[in-house]
Amino acid sequence: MGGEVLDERRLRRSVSSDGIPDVALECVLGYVDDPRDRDAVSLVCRRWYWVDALTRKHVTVAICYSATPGMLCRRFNRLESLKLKGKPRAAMFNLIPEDWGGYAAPWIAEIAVAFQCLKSLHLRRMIVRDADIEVLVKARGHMLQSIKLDKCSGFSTDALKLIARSCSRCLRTLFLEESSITDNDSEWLHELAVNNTVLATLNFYMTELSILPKDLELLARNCRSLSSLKISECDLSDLVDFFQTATALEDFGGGSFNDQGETNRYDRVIFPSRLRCLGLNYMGTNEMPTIFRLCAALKKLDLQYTFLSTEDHCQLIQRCPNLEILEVRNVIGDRGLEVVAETCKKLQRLRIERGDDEPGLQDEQGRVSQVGLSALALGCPELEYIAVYVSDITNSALESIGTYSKNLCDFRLVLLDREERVTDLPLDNGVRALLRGCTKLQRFALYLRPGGLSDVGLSYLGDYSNNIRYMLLGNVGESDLGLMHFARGCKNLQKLELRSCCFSEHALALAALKLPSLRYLWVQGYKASRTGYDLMAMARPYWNIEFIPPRPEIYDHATDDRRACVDSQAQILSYYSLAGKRTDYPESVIPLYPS
Amino acid sequence: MDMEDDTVQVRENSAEDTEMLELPKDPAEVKASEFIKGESSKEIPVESQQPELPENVVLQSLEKEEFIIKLAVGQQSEIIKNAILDGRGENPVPLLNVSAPILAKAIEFWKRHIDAAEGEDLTEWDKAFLGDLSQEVLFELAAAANYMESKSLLDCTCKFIADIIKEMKVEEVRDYFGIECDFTEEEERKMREDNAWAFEQ
Repeated sequence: MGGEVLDERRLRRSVSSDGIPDVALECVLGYVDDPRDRDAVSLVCRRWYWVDALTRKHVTVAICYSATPGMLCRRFNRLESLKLKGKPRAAMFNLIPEDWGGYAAPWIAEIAVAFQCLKSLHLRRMIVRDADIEVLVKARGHMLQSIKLDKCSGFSTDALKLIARSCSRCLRTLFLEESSITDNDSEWLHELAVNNTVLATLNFYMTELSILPKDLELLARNCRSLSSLKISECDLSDLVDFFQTATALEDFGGGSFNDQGETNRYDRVIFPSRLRCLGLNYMGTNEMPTIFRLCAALKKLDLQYTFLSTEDHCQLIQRCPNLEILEVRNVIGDRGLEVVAETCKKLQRLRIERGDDEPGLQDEQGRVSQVGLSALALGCPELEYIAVYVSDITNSALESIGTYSKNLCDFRLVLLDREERVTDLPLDNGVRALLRGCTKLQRFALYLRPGGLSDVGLSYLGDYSNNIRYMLLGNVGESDLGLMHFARGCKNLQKLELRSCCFSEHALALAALKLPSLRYLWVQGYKASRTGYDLMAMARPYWNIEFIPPRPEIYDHATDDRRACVDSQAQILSYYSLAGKRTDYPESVIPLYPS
Repeated sequence: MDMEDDTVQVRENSAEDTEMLELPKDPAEVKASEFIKGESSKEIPVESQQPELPENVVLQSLEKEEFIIKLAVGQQSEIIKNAILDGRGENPVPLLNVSAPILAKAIEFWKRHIDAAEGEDLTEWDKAFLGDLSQEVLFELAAAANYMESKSLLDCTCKFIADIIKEMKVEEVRDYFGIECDFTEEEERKMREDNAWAFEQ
């Protein structure tokens, strides 16, 4: 959004050689938001570069070591919103050493002195200390409207108390989902409830924080705009009063049915009538009726942490024709997906997570395969995002997706290891059809098993992935030749993650050199050389290469041998950096270049 | 391994308040209603204390050329509105930063918008109106809209130009606006890399 000239009203008539008044250019650029448009704008000429730098509102730094805080400030010191990402994505699966890095401190120090316009800060997978938060809120607390500490670690509830006290005037969003927070007490929530009146979004889902229901109620009473709340575990029967007070609530997650079966414990739980997004833990067959009243209007439903059977899923989803986002485990089964295809015509995002691997805990019907996927492609043409764990797959299911899912931007498929036999491998032709048909695809993940995709299939991935910027590939290809052919394509691929592959170090290095847009590479499970120095083939200026040696001490959680074997293997992390060599390497990580 | 999401989260836009300035109540009206609230039912004459608002407004461009428009039309500019409501008796309102041809275009835009029926969609008209203008005039109009604080005109012109720029490659933008690139080859290369490496696209 734009419209206002930067600060003071100016009667400037200064105009450069192209005849465009400064003022006009600043106004117009205020309406150009897309980062790629902004990049183009900044390259037009010097003046446009500086006007872009002064008017760009948001920047995302994809890996915090690619630039220094000073560099960011020198170019964009009027930034209003900043997102920083630290640890590699693999950290979400416990594959990255905790002390790898991603410290927020240097960035917060710069924010405190330089970024005078900052209203929104989002840190993802970073290490944040209480002291860092103190620096941040002392300097910016009076202005910050949104603080997101997203999968972060290193801080405690004392930091939250500081935020509650110092950011009371403006804070509309506090997001802490999946962060590891030391729980000293629940006072932070009480402070938030007492001091703040404008909070609209609060999320401490999947944290282990314990809170008092009465503080939630106080929050609902004082923050009349509270529309989104996601909490850590708290029995729903304790939230009866909260739900009655929070009449503006549209989005609720967390909260649990700790008691299942025959009980009238939840009879008094009445959800606010404006609720459109819901996710409840441990909901079972008997507890389902508590949400029937809401189903017709529901836009988002999260059933990943419920105890529902395949049949339950069918019963429930049948009542939800307005669903736009659905998140489930594969217990939904092909049958459940057929119900989705028939009922949820507006569906945009679907996530199907893996269920428990242990036998006996699985639902017999809880398998998702080509049957469900094909039905989905036909029935839900609005789908933009599909992430699914399948037990079986065929080329024709992928072809169906290519034919019907024309809005698909993000596709992720993982083939589970459980079944011995898969109907139709390799998936070369299906993958090609999917890539050619889904022209809007930007993010793509394919995790298979040996034989899942041949070298020919891998070359298709290269040839037909025109707009794809991110890929995760697991167990694909047969040899280095396949990788080389892949690397000749993928002209827009910026971020590549490879796992469990058969490629040699040397081939990986050459591929990294070839891929024209690559700026981030992560690999685990490859043919390592004895010395690891074949990787140096990709050494060049501004390209950092980090090596994480094998860690046999990693405890393997998975029951699958192949998977457990890979978890402890060496990793390569490589990325473009203007900042040069990191100064905070821990012992568990070896800098190969610059060394 | 899993394909856990790493999507970019949508940032919240700060809401822009568009408060409509309310015209102050006619003092005569206020006094009358106060009396009616009381017990007396007699009509009591009231003297007005402020000059009435003019029906027309005179605007003066950079070249001192004068334009006469209706009050309602001019109120789409905060500067014009304030000049009148402040009772400064500033008639004509001087708009020293706006040349006559540009002011004429602004007035044309405001007129069409004030004449619009309730709920009428003027998007097509706006597009045609702006599409007819030369690049130079377009940018001048945006600058003028900013100076005169006319949100509707500013939004419209800026969005129109922004839409042209979007999706264009760098070379296309330069061509379209007749801009010469003043980076050295080395600088340009470095900046492309700067953009690509550090700051997410």
